Amino acid sequence: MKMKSVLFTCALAFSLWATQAQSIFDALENNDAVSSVVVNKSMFMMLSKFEAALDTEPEAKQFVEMAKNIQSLKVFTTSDKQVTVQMEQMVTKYVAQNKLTELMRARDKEGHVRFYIRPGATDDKVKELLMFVDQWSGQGQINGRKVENVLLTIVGDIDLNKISGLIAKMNLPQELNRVSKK
Amino acid sequence: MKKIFILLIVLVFAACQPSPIQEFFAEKQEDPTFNSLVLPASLLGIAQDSLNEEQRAAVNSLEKVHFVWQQVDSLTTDISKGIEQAESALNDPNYETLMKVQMPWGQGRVLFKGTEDAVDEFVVMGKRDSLLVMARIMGDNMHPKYLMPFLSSMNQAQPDMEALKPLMMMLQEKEVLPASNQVTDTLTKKS
Repeated sequence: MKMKSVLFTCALAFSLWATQAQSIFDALENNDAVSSVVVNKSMFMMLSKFEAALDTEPEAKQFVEMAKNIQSLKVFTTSDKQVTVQMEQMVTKYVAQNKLTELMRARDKEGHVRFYIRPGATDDKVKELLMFVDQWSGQGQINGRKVENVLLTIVGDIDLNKISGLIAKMNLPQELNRVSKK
Repeated sequence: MKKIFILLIVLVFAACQPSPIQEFFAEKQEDPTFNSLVLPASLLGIAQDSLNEEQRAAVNSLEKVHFVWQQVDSLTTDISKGIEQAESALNDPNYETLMKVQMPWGQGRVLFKGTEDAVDEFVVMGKRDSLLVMARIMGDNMHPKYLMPFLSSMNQAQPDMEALKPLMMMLQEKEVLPASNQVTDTLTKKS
């Protein structure tokens, strides 16, 4: 009987731990005002194997190398001002909690782009890359085009100089190219 | 000794736990408010002897596809319960989520069972306000590298159109596929 309660406690503790481990951005996945794409590690493994079987141009090879080491990719976009404010708070909290460092920030008429990284072995290799594009901080509307605020995080072993292959293959926002030093 | 015994029982119990996804499909197959379609790979009508070795391995790794779907129509006005059940079934610990997509026109999710080199099963879920579609793509050691050979072998395929008719009609009705006259329209436009 005692054994059972111990097991039960263990199971309970484990399930609590499992829910804790989720990211604060998960709440955005169920928000109707947000479009999201979440891609997990296994998907990247499969994509890299699929690309490797095609053995074509060097850019694909770069992608294969990169994709093998990616844990997850999340992209959230919204046109809702309120959600943007919420996103910004999440980013601020996340950056502080996980001790990310700011890589660069840029502001122009298109809006406000911020990059944060979790440093890795060298300057070019990072363990996490977070991008936040906030167009509301500009005029709200840009040449009549609908504003889009983007929050993107990539976790894994990421070589900032090889990111262009990933951007092309995964159809990611062009702003990401700014982190590449080449 | 007693501890080991209890541990064994717990392990056996955990191993025998039925999969919520499989249960969902079994249950909805019988549900009159759901539509169901099982499509064996043989219906695709791929002639085995015209294939090279890799294509054959690719084709043989696929066994069947099982669809269940529910839509808002005159008989069924509310599919929120079905969506709820589907979503809770997708939390199946036997499957791993590959990707999730949420767009203004709907939501989708892809899961798999097996390893990245040898997939036993893919599960695809798609939903929007008026439609819920779930599909199990079952096979044996499906490898990502088989995707291209499989698609190329499909080019030479002569599917059993009589058997596929309900599926095509369903897809056209849902505007997933363009209606057949539209297809010919776009084809003639191109040429």
